[in-house]
Amino acid sequence: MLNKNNIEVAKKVFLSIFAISIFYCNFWIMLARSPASELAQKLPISRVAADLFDTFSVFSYYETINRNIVIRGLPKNSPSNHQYASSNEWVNIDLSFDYFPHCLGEQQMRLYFSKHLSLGQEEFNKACKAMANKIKTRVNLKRPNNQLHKISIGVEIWPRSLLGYEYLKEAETTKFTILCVGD
Amino acid sequence: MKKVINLWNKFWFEEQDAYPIAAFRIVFGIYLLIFFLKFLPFVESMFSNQGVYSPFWIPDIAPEPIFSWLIYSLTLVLIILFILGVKTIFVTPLLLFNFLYYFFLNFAVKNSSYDRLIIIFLIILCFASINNVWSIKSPKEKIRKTSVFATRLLCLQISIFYFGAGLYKAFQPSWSNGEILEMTMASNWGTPLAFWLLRLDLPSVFYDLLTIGTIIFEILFGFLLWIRPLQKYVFTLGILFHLSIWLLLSIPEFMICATTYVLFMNPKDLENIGSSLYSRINPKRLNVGDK
Repeated sequence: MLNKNNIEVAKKVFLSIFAISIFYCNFWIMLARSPASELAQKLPISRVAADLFDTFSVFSYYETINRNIVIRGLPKNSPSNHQYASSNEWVNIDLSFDYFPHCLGEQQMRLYFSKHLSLGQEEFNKACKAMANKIKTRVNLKRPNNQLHKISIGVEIWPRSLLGYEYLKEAETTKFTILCVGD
Repeated sequence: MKKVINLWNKFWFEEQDAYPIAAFRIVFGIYLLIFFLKFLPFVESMFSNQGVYSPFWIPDIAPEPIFSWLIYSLTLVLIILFILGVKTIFVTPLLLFNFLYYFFLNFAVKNSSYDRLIIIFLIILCFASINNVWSIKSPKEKIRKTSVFATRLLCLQISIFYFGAGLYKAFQPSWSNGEILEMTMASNWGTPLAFWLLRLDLPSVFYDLLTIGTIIFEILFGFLLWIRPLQKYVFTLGILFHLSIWLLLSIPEFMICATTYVLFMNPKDLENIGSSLYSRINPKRLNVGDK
């Protein structure tokens, strides 16, 4: 019978289950990020909950190199046939506030697509290409007289220094790799 | 068994003055307002189909610029209503849904813990009566007491967050010495202040101690928050910790953790602080009351 008392009890039971679920999710994540991570894999949890409660691993590792995402564009009016465009026909696109109004760390996080990479290389490629195409659309909107044919997203790598972010960034020490090219 | 149930009910469902959850509503709401106001010059470039963003787990549903502005304006309105405590039984779930829209459209790609904390907090607040006091509500509707459930759950969640972060670092080989702090400050997150500190060329033992200190701080902090006599010092330490992350690593968003400290405070102390602040804003009204 539905009376006020039963409703109160039902409400408390529901909220208790909710609280226990929150603790379970937190506990699962702690276990998954500990040396006993294999045990966590045997316990059930939804992918959404695991992703939502995965808040503990902040700055979990470091590198001794700097990685900098570089956006380059191939102008529509470049002299060579686009299919055979050489690397010096590509122009650097400044990751200015018009495209990525964030600090450098967040800019780079947004362009590493680590979340998409966790779903597989195909998802990474799709996300990277989609981003390249979005940047192209926006650049071409802003520069109607100097439009771009394609955008590439690449990464520069050079040794990290405590004396400054670009202190050791020189031509000899810097490597460049293309991650994707838009349509 | 009955004793366990009674203890459980007492811990989760006893009634207390609603000042802690109301204070959190206001402080967290102001945090959300600042969080979204920083996007004001960039609404079109971040949230419209002419912008630059990377949806995650959803198709590309970014609207035309005019609609992105409409949704953004609605977001600000919802946050203001949330802060003022207007119809929070509807506003809080709407705000959650609204934030999830932005999260999957634009924020999820950067994989940040503070975005997830915002979602968790909003989910918990959907199950609470958060506008019993300090809200725009008719005096007849205001009931001073409320269930302690959401307050306790939020307190425990933030305690677990600190503890979990510390425990995680304790297990990580990269956190065994101070090199991780040096290298993180020298990364693309490092601010000019961070590089100035690094250029002082302090001995490595300084960074080693800082690393151990960070781990110990995070492991213990969640427990220390509950000890009322120490709260003044604990809150100060926490705020300084998150300020250092802001100033050295350009991440002000982790101040979200400091917004939860009000939940741990004595409701009576919060009531007195609220009255004191109100009397400074409205001294005439207090004088009338005194008569």
